[in-house]
Amino acid sequence: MKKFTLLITIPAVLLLLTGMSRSPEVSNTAAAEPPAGHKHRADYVKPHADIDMQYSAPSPLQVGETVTIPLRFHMYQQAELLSIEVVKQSGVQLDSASHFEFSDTRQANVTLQVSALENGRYNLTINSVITHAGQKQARSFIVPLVVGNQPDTKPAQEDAGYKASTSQGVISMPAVETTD
Amino acid sequence: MTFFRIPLVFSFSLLILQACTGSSGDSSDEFSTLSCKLGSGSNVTISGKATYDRVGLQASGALDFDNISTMPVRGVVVQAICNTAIAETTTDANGNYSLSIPANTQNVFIRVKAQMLQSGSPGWDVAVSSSSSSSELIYSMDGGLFNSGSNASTRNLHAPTGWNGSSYASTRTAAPFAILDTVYESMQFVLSVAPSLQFPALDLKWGPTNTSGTNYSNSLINVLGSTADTDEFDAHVIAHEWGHYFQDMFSRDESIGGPHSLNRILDIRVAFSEGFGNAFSAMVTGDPIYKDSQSVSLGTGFSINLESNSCFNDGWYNECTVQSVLYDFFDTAADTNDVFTLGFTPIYNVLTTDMVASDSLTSLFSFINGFKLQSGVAPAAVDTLLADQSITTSIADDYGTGIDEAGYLGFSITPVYLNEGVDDTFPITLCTLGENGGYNGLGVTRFARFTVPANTTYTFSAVKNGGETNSTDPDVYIRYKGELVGYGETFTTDSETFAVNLETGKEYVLELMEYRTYGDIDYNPAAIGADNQTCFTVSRS
Repeated sequence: MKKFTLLITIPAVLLLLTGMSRSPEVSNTAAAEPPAGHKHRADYVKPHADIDMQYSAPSPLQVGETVTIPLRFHMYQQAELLSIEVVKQSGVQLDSASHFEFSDTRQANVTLQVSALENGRYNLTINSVITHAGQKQARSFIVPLVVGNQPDTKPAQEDAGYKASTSQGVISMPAVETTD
Repeated sequence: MTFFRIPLVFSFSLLILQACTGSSGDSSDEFSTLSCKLGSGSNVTISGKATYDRVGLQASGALDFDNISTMPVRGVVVQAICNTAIAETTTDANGNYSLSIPANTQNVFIRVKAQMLQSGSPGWDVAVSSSSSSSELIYSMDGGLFNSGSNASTRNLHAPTGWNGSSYASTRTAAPFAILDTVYESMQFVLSVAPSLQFPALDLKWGPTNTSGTNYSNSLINVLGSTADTDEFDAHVIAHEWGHYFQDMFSRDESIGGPHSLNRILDIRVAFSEGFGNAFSAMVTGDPIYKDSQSVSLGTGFSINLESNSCFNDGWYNECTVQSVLYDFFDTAADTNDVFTLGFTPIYNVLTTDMVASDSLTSLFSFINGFKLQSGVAPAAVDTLLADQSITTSIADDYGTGIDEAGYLGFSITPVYLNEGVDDTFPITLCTLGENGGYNGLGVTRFARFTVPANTTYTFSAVKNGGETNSTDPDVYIRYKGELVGYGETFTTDSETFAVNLETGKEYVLELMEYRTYGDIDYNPAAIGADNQTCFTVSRS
């Protein structure tokens, strides 16, 4: 079986089975799965600071339930300081510390204890900052958290100021208008 | 250009889009009962300027809300809406627009869309739409209802950031226009060397809660909007991704994508693609400090100095090396062994001509080999610059034939392309590596060049012959000038077999990747006790 542990940098789908930029001219005759030569293909993502984070996605939890989320950090070059700040949204509660620091390291492990207060879809933001040669470089990660069996499909804290019209094909936003 | 839709339509349509409610991505419409009534008689001119607020960036890459500039919204669609669009034009390079609509039209309003459209040469079709909607909903900023009156009037529309001094407290109207403006800059930059270019359609997706990463794939750029990491004001980030679009549309890019950072030892295709994206972003913005803001609330950022030239793990497999060299070819600033002030023209020529025609995969090798042939380029000076990046063997062809390993410590990574196949010598042995991280680390995919003796169907097989003791999953791909012409990527354990039609007179590239272990994008060689080299016998019959 393929491994499907999650790399947070490409949150939803890591090996996208979307189309390649160019179609094959001649398909092979033997490959049966997947059908279109797309087994190896990820998006072209933006560059990031020299820090990766891995975690296992927690299962949906119920209100009042506490979940343990281990985070594993890895750097390709030793950092003088790794600083981690966890920011939660309202609706969930962080029962563990929210700030961690590690010195002179290439790897670090952090365990979060999170409990749910309300049904919904939430994000924990993991802000990591590494210091190397006196320079700070930051990278933010998102850990999605689902509370309840059928929470609202909309992300929490969706801004209500964007007005959608499918008939006009627009999201209407207010302008500051001045006239002469 | 201003135009009118058929007025008859308007008399039947009494509902206009105003005061719609619902969040981004809501598929329903709510309409005001206010109606727009077209005036009669002569037209009047409604003109004005469209602007947006751009948040500056600190040297660290963090957002600088004390440094907000008012910028023109350039080249976008502007409409007069009376139930539907009754006139349309585009803003000029200063954000100015002018529309002609019937005098005394009641309850009309001006809409500025996050969309750039131009047919012909040059031409483009770009829009920023909602990332949370299944249908394409293009962002727009709308003015208030007014009566057009009998005289010309001015209506200026401005897109604010929504920042209240401590947080985003209201609609982030500026965001889609900031994204679009970087695309405008990128297109203008390329048009400066290729004035008639027609850009294929490009969609950009953004939303205020979008956490799906900033990335490019198949004519689509997704842009982060969540305050955990917003990218709308990160011009380097947008230009980097647009650089991927440019390479995809006008050059070739065999990069397999995936996560990457400057210190990593990468697959040669990925190292070139990402290094080009970084360098291109600096060229477009005129700023060699790549900046990427991170957390809004914590004020963090990420930056890259493309002029530092000091790359950890430098070499032909490192994106930092690629960006450093490409930017030095372009810029006018002299630094160590940088004697080049060539601008974008020779880089554009190599990307759109030499690399497109190459039999090899896209990499620093194919770029440099073509670049050395460009007018005004001294090959010896190129070699000197590359030597500063630990590439001490002169690049003499598209394959990096004879290239040294640039101080690389580990299993052998050369030759980059095994070339016994060119002499029709099969079977060959290819060894995949896991020591540089999974998926897109150098060596996870290994390459071979080959030709065929006759036009016929060939069967290829790859069988494990040593290394990783756990079950493996080899996959094999065959390309001609970058195009995939055949592949075997079943989940069969320890082997792969497939057939493909091939022709004489063509040189093909064979790629072999071990998918089960090393191909795992999450593979961490330090954490998993796997053997970091696994070899396969590749046969052809």
